[in-house]
Amino acid sequence: MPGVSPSCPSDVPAPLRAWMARRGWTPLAFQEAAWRAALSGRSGLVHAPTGFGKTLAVWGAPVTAALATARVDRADAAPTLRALWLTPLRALATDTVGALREVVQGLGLAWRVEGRTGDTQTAARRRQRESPPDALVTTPESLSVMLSLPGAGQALSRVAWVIVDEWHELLGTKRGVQTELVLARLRALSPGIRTWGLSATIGNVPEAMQALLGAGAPRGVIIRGQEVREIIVETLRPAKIERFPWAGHMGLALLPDVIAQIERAATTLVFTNTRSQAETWFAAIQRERPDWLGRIALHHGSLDRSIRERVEAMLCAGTLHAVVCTSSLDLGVDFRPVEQVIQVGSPKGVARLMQRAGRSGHRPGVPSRIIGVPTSALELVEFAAARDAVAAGAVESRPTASRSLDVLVQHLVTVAAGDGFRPESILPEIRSTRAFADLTDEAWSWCLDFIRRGGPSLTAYPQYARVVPADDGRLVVASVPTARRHRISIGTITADQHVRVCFGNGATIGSVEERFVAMLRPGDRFTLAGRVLELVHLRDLTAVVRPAKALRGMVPRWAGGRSPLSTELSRAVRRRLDAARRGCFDGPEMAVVRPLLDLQAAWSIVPAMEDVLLEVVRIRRGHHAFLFTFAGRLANEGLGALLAWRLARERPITVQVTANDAGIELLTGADPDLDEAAWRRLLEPEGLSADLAACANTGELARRRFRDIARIAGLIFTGFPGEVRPARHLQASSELFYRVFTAHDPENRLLEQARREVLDRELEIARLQETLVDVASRRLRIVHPGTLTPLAFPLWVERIRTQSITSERWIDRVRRMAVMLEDAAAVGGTGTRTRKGRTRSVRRHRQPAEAPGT
Amino acid sequence: MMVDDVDGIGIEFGGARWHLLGGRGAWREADGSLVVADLHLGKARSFRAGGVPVPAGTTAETIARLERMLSVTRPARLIIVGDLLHDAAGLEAPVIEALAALRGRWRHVSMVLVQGNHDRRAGRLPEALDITVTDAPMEDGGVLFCHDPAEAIGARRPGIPVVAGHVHPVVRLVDDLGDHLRAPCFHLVARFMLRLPALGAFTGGAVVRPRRGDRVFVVRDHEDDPAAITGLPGPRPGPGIVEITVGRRGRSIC
Repeated sequence: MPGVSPSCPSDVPAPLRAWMARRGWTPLAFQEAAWRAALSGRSGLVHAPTGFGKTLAVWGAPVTAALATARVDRADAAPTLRALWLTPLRALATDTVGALREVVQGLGLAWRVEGRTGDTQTAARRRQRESPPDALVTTPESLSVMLSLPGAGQALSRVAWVIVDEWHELLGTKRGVQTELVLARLRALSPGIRTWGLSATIGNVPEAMQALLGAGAPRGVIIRGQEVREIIVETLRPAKIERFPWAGHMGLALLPDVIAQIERAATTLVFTNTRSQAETWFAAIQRERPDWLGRIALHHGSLDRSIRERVEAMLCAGTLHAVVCTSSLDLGVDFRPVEQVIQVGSPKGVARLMQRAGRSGHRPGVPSRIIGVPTSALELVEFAAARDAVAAGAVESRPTASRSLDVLVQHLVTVAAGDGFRPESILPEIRSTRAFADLTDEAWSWCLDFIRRGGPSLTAYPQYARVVPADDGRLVVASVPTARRHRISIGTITADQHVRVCFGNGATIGSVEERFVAMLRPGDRFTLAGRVLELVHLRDLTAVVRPAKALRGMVPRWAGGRSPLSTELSRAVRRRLDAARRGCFDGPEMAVVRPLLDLQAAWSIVPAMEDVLLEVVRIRRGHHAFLFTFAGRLANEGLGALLAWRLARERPITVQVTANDAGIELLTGADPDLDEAAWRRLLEPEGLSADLAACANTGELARRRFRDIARIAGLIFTGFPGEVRPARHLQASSELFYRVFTAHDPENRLLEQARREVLDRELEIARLQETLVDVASRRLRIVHPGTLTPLAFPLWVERIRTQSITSERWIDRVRRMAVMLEDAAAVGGTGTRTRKGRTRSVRRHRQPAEAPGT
Repeated sequence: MMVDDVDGIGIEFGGARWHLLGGRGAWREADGSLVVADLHLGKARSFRAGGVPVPAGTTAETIARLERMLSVTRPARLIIVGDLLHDAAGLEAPVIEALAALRGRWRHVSMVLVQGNHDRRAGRLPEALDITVTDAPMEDGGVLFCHDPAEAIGARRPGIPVVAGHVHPVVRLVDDLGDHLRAPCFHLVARFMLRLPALGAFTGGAVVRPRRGDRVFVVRDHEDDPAAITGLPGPRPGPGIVEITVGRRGRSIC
């Protein structure tokens, strides 16, 4: 078979070497190791913390092998696809095609390298089907679409190489699971295919490779990339912390320092943790330095692609002074002009901090520097702790995902839409993935039943059919429209319904969530892409806007993207606090935060490593309990839900739970009156999963999780791109599906999956279990401060994702409540602005300006 | 206060006494008319045919909700203010048979359908059902019954109180500690329009934002069942209805 025959190991790629030499490059040791391994027929994973040379390390072998066989390949052979390059970001595809082409042309190989993503024109895709390129750069979703086309098996049967870029980004997500399934399909279609992955350094590289290569694969090769450059973590610090600066706006207090820092370098990347934060910072910088107009830019995932691409091009060309961005620029080509990286807000994780630091200073021997900008006082401690963790090399692992039946269901329909499949022959292939290695026979037959007739019961879903048996026994998609609709819905990236924001002439600026725009009325102003816009009208998922003269507008919020503080980092934070308690304030950050920790010690205590701090405070009508575990936001949400549920089980009560990375707040109207023994009972690790499952079942959590699952499993059809109100007669909200399934098909496994995902992902049950066991072994320090302490205040302020757990009678609960008036959504908050003397608030925030008791 | 379906909550509207029921219908005392809206029969079926799996059982649930109110109020007349059917799938045998069975059990009740946008698309109801169908808004007892409130404007009767469906009203409730809830509701708009909640078991809702002077009556949805938490055995709570204060400012806590 052409392209598959392995060259012998001694045949170290001379043409490649020669080409590199012409450009003045010397192969690095890890590149040679990767070439040797791949050319000898092995698969594997190349990982490196930062830096370059990874592309060539995995691309060297395919081109060399192709050169070796080019001589025997007949020139008139039909064009066929030989190499696939999967990238998680379609924005990266174009650059990758360029980089791969450069090598191919440099070696004089007659290969066509093309890209295919969701953005590729239909005509170009058709051309690619008729005359496939030799190498194709694509996304997991686009590859799935290829699998869903008739003749897919034939088209992919001669692919000898598949390379997965940025594998760590996919790992542990549903996209990763989808990629695993697609890779398994490729292994079945083209036995002998070699799979290589590229990854940043993570804590569990072998596991990552196993997920990439499949459970039953021969042992792969792990190759470590170029040596880590030194990483320097610095911070900008306020001169003095006078009052409670815990809430959101302290970060902007450092704006002059950030601007001074930007002035010092030619090009700066300013990373923020959320899109809203990016908009806020960009607007603030613009206001402060109008002379930088055109030289600073904004980049995040909700901006129109054309805007993002323009920013990226300018960044590459070195014409930008600074870009305020989100994780949208975590990945991708190295922007060589970038000299310095600023991180606004908590770094959250060590790996992420290192990756971002690595975006700067692409000169050998120069250390990577990252400048932290804390937005609250505790973040000062987090940056200090992050520096400790970087020094100790405590990099997080990426947990792998498993048992995502929604993804499996989608994949099965994909294959059925393409060449169809026989259940008995596809099952081993599916079980060869890490994600479904332990797929039970019951779950498997449920999936088959689900796509064939909705569920295992014949009567439950009359008339329904998505997949039907063909004459020869293969399962195929029931109809052409069903297949077409499925292709459009392929993918696992789910988002809330988005509204396109454009000008009257149709030029798109970006998108905001429907729930944000639903709060606006014509004439209202908001910020997007760093511009203040005025809503003209909203129709059919399009918000038409015009530029507003005003300087400020409301900043939209986008859901998602808030990752919890990692275990590694929170441990480092606890160590820092423990040291502070003992009077050791090492490092500049701790010196600044010292007065606050002194206050904490005076009003309550600063917890030692062996302490769990519980503060019980009564403020007017509310009874607050603040418990500090430092377990990260997700595990804390789980813990909060658990405690609230256990409390609600004992008496009729409504408990509101707020969680952040440090701890949880339980708020009740009546005094729960708990002593230490009672708290210990609530915190008992025993019975965790049963209790949590029960509470996930009743809470809003499972319903929330079900939204993604319903989309992926094909219940919710989001429509054809660009189509206005697509197939509306088949649209219903996931909440409605959740209710109907619960009432009429409670055994549905997608419901079960929703509950399980709530436990595993929303509530991080594993980490929660560890936390409870840990808490049980620690000393519970219950204190009754007279007011909110510095540790408690952020929880009190930031009640965005509050959830209620209730055992009150419906009538009692409803009677307490009021309808939100159209002109009074809530009180206070950062979304407030005044128009014609009337104040209106959009975000449900509590006013962070002043703490009681100060 | 919460009351059961026998009494509902009494209100004065359009010069008559009405009882808003937890079962999502409104009963006019004077002439014994029961008014409901938005059943959307056949919707789940239509989804299934389109390749979207929705379990069977929603039609039966919807009919049971209606039947419960019929048994309680024993009305002389049932007025459906639109969207009895979701689309043509609502005319297919199993759905129409369920409807016919209900009709058979309540053959002494006269039934009127004021057509909604979905009914027009669905097609003609079988004569045998003996349901009077009217395409235009219907004036009766000093009140205009219509599906989409916008149609009332076309009726050229300015100032007449309107009973309408179409929007599937839902409100968002909060208390002053921040507890919140979404609930289907009756929405009495400034004393001249009464919007009914959707009766159908497979229908969604749209959040309405009442203004000062409106009245809102929420009805119990299905998940509002604390027994799931306490684990205590007992009958599932039946329908309930509560009037909610509009415009009380919540959430000032400290």
